[in-house]
Amino acid sequence: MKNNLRVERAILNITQAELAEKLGVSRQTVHAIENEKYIPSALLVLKVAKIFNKPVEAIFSLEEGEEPG
Amino acid sequence: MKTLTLLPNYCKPLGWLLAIFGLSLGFAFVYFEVKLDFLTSFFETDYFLGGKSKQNLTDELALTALIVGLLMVGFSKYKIEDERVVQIRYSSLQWAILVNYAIVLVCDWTIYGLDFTYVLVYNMFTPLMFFVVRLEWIMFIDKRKPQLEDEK
Repeated sequence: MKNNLRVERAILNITQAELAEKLGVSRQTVHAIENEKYIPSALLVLKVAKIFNKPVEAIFSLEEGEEPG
Repeated sequence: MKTLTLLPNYCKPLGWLLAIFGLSLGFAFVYFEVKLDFLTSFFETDYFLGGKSKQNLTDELALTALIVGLLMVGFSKYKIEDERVVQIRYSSLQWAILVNYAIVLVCDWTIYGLDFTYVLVYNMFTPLMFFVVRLEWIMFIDKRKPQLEDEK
């Protein structure tokens, strides 16, 4: 799964630590998500979308090979 | 994902103290025959050479301290217990079981007779030990990742 979390964070001008606090996770988790080392749960994805006030698909997307069908 | 209830974070250092105490006492018991004389069983049991005698409980104390200590370390919350930590804990458990039983299988075919009792003895705590070592190592490396900088 790909994401443009780093870009969205830069738009809102918040740090990884600040985003982590809003999400209730560790900074390492935010870092891992941004570097695509960790796939967040549906709950976390929805929380991220709510914080950035954007639809989930605007922040997270499937990679080639992950598309269904 | 619902998980088991974990112990509070303050149990982790207590667990380390207990585990290190148990490991040290066990090591001293096995390799230097250290025995705590005040620790004997309340009742007599059959002695394998015949007759009955009270048992020294130093090794029982060592094993209990090691197992309880490792359980406390492995199943205590981290300061921030999020879904990624849950996943790391689960994968560490899985890894530990696989590694432990791979070693047991190798020992099964390469160690025989009374020497195999050492395998059985160590196997009482090696799954837990592998789990804790891997969990703590992954979390330690994670904390020290150099790329972590405050990005604005």
